Amino acid sequence: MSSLFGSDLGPDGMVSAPSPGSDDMPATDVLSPDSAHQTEDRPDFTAVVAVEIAVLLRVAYDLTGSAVDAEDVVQETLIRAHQGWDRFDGRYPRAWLLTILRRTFLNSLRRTRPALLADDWSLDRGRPAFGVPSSQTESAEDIVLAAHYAPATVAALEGLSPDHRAALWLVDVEDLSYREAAQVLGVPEGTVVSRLSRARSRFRAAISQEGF
Amino acid sequence: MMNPWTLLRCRWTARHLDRYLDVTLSEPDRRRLAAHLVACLHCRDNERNRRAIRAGLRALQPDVDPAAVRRLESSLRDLSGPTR
Repeated sequence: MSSLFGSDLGPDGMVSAPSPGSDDMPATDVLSPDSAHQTEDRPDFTAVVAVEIAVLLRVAYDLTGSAVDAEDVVQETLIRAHQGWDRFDGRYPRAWLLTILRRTFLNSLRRTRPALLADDWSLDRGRPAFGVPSSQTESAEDIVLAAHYAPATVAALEGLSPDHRAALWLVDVEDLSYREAAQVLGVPEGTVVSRLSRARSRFRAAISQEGF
Repeated sequence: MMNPWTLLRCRWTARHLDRYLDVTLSEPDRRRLAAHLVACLHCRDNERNRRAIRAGLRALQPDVDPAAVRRLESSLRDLSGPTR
């Protein structure tokens, strides 16, 4: 089984959770409003992370394929982010959180591959469907959404290779930047750019064949 | 008829249009492409088509479960709460 994650799992698969703040500087000190570390250019942890929760949930669902697992992974991600906050340089917070999310996913679930990169990916499985229990695949929401999708779009997505589909999905559906998608996939940004370019070309060719 | 120079511009535009729509082109390239779009009906059609495809893909992004978001926000507040 060759998958994007399969080939890149090695180093990250071994990565342990970010360790808590060192003994002489507990993470909680950094977070306290009156802390000397809370400088003007270092925003509040809660404020930075709160606005990313929805994105984290969607991407976690992309990876796990399960609403319950997604929430668990995000929960753990928040804890690890909190522990690592004092080592975060403050740049690209979403990319930082997505890196932690990916490691959390790899460490906690030990999946062989993310749902997003599965060979048998389908829109029902691959799209986030929060509020719908993972075992319940024919919810009213599913039916409404399925009727809404242009069949050509679905076919074109399903026809892409897992690597290409993942890049397209994360950037064009989830609205992540190249950098953020690269963090989720554990590949260099340039790899995302080239996969995305090919994915978009093939997606366009596929849907134009279908008369979109 | 389209002259060879325009054709080259159109090919260049087609290759760079996605980066233009991603807002990741360099400023000189962005200006160059935008200027061509103003002048070229064919490339404007292409641009419109790609925007429509993007809108269709973006529409696949569903809302998250508000209850899950609230639970996680609550966890976040617990994490950040004063502990000393």
